[in-house]
Amino acid sequence: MGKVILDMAVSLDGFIAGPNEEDTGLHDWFFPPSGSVGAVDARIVEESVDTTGAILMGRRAYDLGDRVDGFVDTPYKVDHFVLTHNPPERAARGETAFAFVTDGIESALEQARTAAGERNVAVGGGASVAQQALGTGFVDEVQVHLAPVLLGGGIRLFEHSRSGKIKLERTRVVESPFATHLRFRIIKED
Amino acid sequence: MRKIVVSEFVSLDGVMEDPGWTFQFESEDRDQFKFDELAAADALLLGRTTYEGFAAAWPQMAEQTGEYGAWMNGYPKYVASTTLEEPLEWNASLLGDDIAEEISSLKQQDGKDILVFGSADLVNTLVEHDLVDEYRLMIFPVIVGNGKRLFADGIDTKNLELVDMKTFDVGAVVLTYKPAGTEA
Repeated sequence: MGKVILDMAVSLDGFIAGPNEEDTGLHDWFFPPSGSVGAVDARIVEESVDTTGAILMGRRAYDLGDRVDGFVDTPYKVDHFVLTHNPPERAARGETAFAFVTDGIESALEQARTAAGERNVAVGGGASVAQQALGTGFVDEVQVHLAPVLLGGGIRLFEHSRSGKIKLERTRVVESPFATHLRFRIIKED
Repeated sequence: MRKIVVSEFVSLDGVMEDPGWTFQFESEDRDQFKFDELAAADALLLGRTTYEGFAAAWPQMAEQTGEYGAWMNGYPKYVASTTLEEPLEWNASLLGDDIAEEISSLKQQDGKDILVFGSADLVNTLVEHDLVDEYRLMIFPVIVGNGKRLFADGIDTKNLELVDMKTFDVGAVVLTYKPAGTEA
């Protein structure tokens, strides 16, 4: 069985998007403004694509992705599970296979893990799904791509009162001009 | 021209308050980093809450904190507060009402680094006024889940550049940033 990895880009002050859901450079390591990914960031992306067997996301992240045709040429050719109360009438443009899960985070994680098999489930946002996933206790690792920007407002990755204290073990730090890639293993208490 | 260096302990979820969660991650290389940092400074800039906590604690710890403690106790401190009144203890003096103006003129003086520890409200004021020359965020491997965060909502977006990264033997990583487009 693969692992469940919370894998998200975040600003230095903890936001995954600006006040109006704008990206503001948080994903420049993935979609570099110059068009060419640096070698360090390219390896992080490649590793993620190679090891990810399914993606879990929330409805807002899905809509944001769809709006910019983000699923048309995504390198992740794996099943995408979208946690939502209201499945859309038509799936997003592109060849990505979507499953809309309406019966809760645990069901969504379970379905994604089955689809991923030996590979990992990447929980890729938004904040609500990330927090719900952490709350289940099924997340094994956290990878944050820390962008060198103080956004000053927006949507927080870790909203307080949603998760209790979680102990981590730092397993890797990789730096590039666009992001510091910090990876942690969650230390499970039981 | 001296630098304002904001040096902080933060959890992965950005909390700076009451950092008892750092104690289990002590290491010699981390102590050395903090020692070198204080040696390169000659003053502290603090908000009221951090000042009051430090002024109560550090003089009591003089014996066990050695040279580091002697510096902490001896360096002049500049305190931002709207409620405290002079005279202050612990070799501290109160900044006037126009914090930004006062700190700008402090920066013009000769001297070593001015360190900011803790003091989240003050840090946000400094960020807003572009007065921070360097950010050193020591990030600890824990999601605390509650407590005051270092960076508040409601400031303008600031682009930074990573200038240094150092991992310690145990737990923490320290990331050093400067405002984008400035000289290191």
